[in-house]
Amino acid sequence: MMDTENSSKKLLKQYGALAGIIVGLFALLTCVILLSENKWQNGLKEEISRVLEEEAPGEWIVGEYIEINAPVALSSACFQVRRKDNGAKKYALIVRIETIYGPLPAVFLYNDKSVAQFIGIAGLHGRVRKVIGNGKNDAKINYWIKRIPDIVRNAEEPAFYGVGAMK
Amino acid sequence: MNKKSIYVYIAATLAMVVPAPGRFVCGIILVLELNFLMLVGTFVKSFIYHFKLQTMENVLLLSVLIASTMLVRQILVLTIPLMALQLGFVLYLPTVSSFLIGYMFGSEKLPLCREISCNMFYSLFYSVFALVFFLFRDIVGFGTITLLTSHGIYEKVLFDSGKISALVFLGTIPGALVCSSVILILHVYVINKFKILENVEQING
Repeated sequence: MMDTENSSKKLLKQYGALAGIIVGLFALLTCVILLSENKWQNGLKEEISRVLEEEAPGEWIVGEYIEINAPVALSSACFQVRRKDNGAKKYALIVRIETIYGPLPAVFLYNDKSVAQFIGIAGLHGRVRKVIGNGKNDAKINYWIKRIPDIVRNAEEPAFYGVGAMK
Repeated sequence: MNKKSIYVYIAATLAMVVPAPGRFVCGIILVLELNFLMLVGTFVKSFIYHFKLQTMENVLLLSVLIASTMLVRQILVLTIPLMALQLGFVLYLPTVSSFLIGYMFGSEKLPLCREISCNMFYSLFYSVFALVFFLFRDIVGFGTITLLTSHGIYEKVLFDSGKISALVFLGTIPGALVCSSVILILHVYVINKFKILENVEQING
């Protein structure tokens, strides 16, 4: 009888410790994920602005973040952008693409009326950037150019979108 | 170099060094992650033995290691979101590599201090190699040097002559594989030469 009680206590202690650790980890991760949500959006917005400013200086204003409702959301982010001169709206996407140089964050522009356009690679300058060039000869970039319309179709438009909504 | 260390080298290199972009900043992040995971894993293992939870060792240790990797990713999102986006799945490769798991599950139970010093020695030794490897590929392959600063990533272009150099190959994944193979061959060659010298000395002695 005592043996059964001891063994039950031991098992209870073991499973209690396991459950405690798992619940603790889950709570910690939830807190960090909630804290980092805005940082993810703002950080990637800054990177897109930087790439657009380098490739087409003074032409674009980066606007609101658009939620992508697809698994690709983990490796990409979508923003609305507007031309400074005529107010034309487009989508700017930063997408992790697998290249021969490893994963790189590529920036694309897209609107419904034309095909996606490769703009540049965030945080990459020098000779490898020159080799990649405008991306026309790169199979991976061409693959993403074809996929981007599907990603944008899955993106959730904000309820109000206009010049005033631009940040 | 014995067979085990060759396998450890191959496993760690294929998991950490080869699939990652050959930038020094990526190397710094992966090395920090590897050492953090090694430290957390060693503490958790000690905790498991202290509370006699050996029956759940595998589940607990793997859960904590995967959760720690997710924590590292979220810290990156908080500090350098671009790196979190770029590295993506590469951050999970050290966690599931046999380098980390081998040291976590393979060794016998030692006192905590001794286990930490032992595990961290292997981890730091490999970290130095990985950092030199990433630095070499960044300078020679990409022609840049990238560093972590308080404002994010600092990139300095070193070679930007406009001519496309054949050295760009070293910045690619096949280039990384070739480099790691050459290092392994050279290492084995040098170790074998030392063994021959030792044998000659023993015979003469």
